[in-house]
Amino acid sequence: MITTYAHVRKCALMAIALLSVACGGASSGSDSTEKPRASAPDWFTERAKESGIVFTHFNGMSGEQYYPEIMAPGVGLLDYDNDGDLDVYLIQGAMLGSKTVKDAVYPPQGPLGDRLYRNDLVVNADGTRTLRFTDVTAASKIDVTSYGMGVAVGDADNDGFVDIYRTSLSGAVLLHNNGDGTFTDVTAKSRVGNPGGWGVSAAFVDYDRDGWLDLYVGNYLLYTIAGDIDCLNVTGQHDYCPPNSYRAQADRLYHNRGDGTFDDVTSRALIGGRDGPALGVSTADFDGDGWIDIYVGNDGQPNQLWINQKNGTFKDTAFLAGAAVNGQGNSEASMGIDAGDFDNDGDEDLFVTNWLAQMNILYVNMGGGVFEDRKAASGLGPPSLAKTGFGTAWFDYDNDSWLDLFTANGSVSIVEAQARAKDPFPLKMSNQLYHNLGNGRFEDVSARAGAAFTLLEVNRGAAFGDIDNDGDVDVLVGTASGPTRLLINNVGNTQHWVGLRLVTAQKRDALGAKVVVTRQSGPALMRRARADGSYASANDPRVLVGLGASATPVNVQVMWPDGRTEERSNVPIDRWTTLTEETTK
Amino acid sequence: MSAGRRGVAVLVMLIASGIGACSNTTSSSSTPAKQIREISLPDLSRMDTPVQEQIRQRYNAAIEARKRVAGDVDASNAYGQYGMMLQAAEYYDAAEPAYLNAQTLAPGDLRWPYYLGHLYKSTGQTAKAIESFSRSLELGPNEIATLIWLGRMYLEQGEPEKAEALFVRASALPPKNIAVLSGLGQAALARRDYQRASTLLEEALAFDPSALSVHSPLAMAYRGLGDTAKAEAHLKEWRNTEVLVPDRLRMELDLSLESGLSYELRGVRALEAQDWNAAEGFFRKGVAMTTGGTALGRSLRHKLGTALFLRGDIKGAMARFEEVAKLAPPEGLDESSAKAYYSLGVVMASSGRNREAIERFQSSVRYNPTYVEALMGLGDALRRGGRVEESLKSYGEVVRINPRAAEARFGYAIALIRLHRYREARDWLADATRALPESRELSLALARVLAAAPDDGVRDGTRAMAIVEELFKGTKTTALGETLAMALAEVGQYSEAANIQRGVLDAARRAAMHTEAREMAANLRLYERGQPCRRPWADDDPIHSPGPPVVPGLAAAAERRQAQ
Repeated sequence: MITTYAHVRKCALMAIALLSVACGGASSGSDSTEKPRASAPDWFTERAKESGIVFTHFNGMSGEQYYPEIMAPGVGLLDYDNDGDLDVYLIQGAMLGSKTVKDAVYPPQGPLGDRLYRNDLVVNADGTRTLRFTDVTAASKIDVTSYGMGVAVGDADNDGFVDIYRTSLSGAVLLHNNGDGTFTDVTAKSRVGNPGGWGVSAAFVDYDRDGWLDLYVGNYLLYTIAGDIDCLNVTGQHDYCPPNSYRAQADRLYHNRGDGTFDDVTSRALIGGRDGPALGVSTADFDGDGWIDIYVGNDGQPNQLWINQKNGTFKDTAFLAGAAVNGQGNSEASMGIDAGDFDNDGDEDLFVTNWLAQMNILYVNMGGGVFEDRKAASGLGPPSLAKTGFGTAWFDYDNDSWLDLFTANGSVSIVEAQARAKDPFPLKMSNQLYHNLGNGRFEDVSARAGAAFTLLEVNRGAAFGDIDNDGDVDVLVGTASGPTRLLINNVGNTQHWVGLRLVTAQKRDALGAKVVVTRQSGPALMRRARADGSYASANDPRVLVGLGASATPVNVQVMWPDGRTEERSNVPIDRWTTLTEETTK
Repeated sequence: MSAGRRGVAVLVMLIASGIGACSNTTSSSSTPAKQIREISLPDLSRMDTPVQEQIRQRYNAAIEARKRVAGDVDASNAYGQYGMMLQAAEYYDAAEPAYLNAQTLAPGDLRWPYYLGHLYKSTGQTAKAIESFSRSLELGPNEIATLIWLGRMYLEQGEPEKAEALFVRASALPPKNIAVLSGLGQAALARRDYQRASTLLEEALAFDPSALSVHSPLAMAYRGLGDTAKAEAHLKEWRNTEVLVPDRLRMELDLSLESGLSYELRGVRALEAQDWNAAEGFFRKGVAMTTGGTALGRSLRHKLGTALFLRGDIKGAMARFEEVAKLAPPEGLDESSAKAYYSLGVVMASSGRNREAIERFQSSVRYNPTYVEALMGLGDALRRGGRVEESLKSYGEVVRINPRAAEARFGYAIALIRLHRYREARDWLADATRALPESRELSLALARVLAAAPDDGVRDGTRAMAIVEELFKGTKTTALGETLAMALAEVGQYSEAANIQRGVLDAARRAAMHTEAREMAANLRLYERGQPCRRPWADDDPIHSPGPPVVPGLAAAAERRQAQ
């Protein structure tokens, strides 16, 4: 079944109004990095406040420099009301320690508790968009006020409405979407409370192909406020502690029983692994056997690559796969991660953001889940040396058919110049955009991407999706003790694209489904539906594939999470289309 | 060369180089119109007072040297040393103009572009870092550290050919060192020359086996050659270590700032290099700069105790651990106090003073309830002292914290067995072996319970045989042989059981395992009479007395010496 539900203006029309990177004018490769003319709009424009997202994260800092102050927040994109556009879920903090909000360095800017914003997108007659968000937290009956970290989204009960899993400094909650705009906390009943766990990133994944989304929860450190360690830097100043000050906490894998409850199968399913302080989680078929695997980024300890054994268990093969440590043999900070086929060779490569003294790392999949550290050869390493990266994703911001990268950056230790300027939270950094040159190399194009990339903030989570349904990927960024940012993409839809919502036979987003898009010219493009990856955040589960200059309908092969494969021909381009899994073959 | 001897060699190089002197330093007072940049003090307000004073002194010296119209070399040194202190304090922005002034005033001094290279590297200014290191190398073409750092920069840039040329130059200069060998290997690996990479990285590890991180790139080289077995073998040896560069200039930089934390970092580095004496020295200096009322002060005192213990000064170590214990806050959590009590617990346990060991471990856990080693120590000490029921709580807590802690799962199971709660032990072990199938100890324990538990509802000889047969594919031990005999007897094969048991008994006697041999002989008699065993372990089996080997009087001797 093919359903089109959002027609988007054609590339030819856009070319008149926008950039020199016109429809049909840019082939894949280095020529597509052409700088926009001076009169052209920024590639991305920050539009949170004007669209109604007025939210400032509260990190509860009172001068004690408690570790969690610098770790949150994540952000989430989800279509909770099934109206075809992406709504926004924002994670809020709380006061830390025994002090009250009166003692906070930055007082809260609104009610404490997570917020849900409904997207009331208006598509005008001329095809332009009016983006407007409405805070519907109260109406949704969401009342979550613990110290939040991250968010994962997925339809846990196959009722056709996406649910919310929210991690925190201690434990987690599962919010069931009732389908009428309200949510119910079903944590106790579902048994996914992650008791005592400092969860950061989590991922819904149907690892056993039973049609029900299971849940992987990445837990960070064994930490309590009472046990907070007082760390000094080399000059005797109080500073945030390094992660090895605390012990790692075990991750959790919950198996969905299909009756509203989950079993904790960590011990029997994750075989032979060691605990690590998990920050990023990404699920994908890394070894190409058709079964979804799990990659976990651990802070300062080896990352894990849990390869699905197809019997309900996983084995950690990260070391031999070459994805546990960097090419020099050292483990790194590994905050944000994402999997994507950046070189269009049909397999999932990995990108991991790191601490500033390290470099972000690109693990290139050489086939079959065998990886090589190519941060140097790709050019991705050096530009990140002075940055500490968190949220990230592979996404084709200019729809030239090559996956690019965004990194949300923010320090975890004092930035000298900001401290000198008496900034009480001197950890601010600007974000980065890397353009895929199509030849295995990347270029840092942040300086050309617009004013949004000059903002200095403590950026953490980032979620990626086509928020205005105009055919390019926008970015939602959460900042610690700062405002949420919404970076609207102004350039992507100047090239052709195909948007796919993949829906399983159970009528939910087919997280983990892969598509191979064959176009008139150029290599076939393999992409996957995913809400996970990045850092503590939930992405648009839909798949937006940049087609470059290819202006004709495409053929799409879908590999559904249950292993079935379907072919769809002549799928229209430059619009969103829903592909639903056939119930019989 | 051992890590300790390498540390000595670096110190010798440092002494030989002279303090702050440099043979390449030249006066350039005749150079006209030198551009001198403004230097400034960073925000000192939140620094330790001694650190503030050090930085102010160096700042004033730089200002004064210029005012006095000092010789350029003197002024250069004053600026450069101010830059060094700021860089050591991680104030890179403020350090840069100081270094640039030093470089302007003494352009022939290789130190300033060298330090600038590091500064730019730390701040992500890669092109400038390469330029500065290259400039320093022009002034000192045989500086091994500069060759290595510049080589590493080129590797990070994806230019392995340039990197390799520098490492080759460095390899021609004595003494041989791990950083050069591994750099050559890394360059080969980056070019996917797996054969050459494996040869060079093997050579690196043969030269310095403590560089355990090198096992990973070496494994990648073997993987590239298709030798997965060798790759896996090397990955088992991997640890997250740093490949150290022999770097006298960097050491001078590190030593330029004196603070509690800087001494702690240097001490930890010395501990990692197994240079206990150097570690002790650094920690003592740190202790002198901090009070015991701070977490850092307690941490330094505990680490000093650790260094003393490692170099064999038990008395000194005990004194430090006791000091930290006395300084421990009356309530709340405290990592150093937890570690100090844990260390005291280990010494008491090693001295056979079990009751006191229990008290120390309990204190340790009070200061850090998630301290796995202390919880394990407590569980073992409780079990050893006959407080078996209580030990279950400690082991259970470890398993809760880390479901993959095999030793805690094992301790819990053996405690249940000692309590004769065989059904619970069987279920616990069955769950543990599912979670940790690679643990031979857990599988063996399960097989033994299935073979010899007195409860008819627990035993399952066939299942026990299956487990033992699987275990026999690996290393064979007397415990495994004994369990096989139990399983054979349980399935009615008494003659085979007796044969196996005789062999095991002989081996135990040869190994002077007298307690075990006594029980084995008793079981042998059972098999010879055609009776099965109904006791997986005797109540006085050494398995019920876990913990470190006892060195009688260890703590007492230390305490006596302390009192004298």
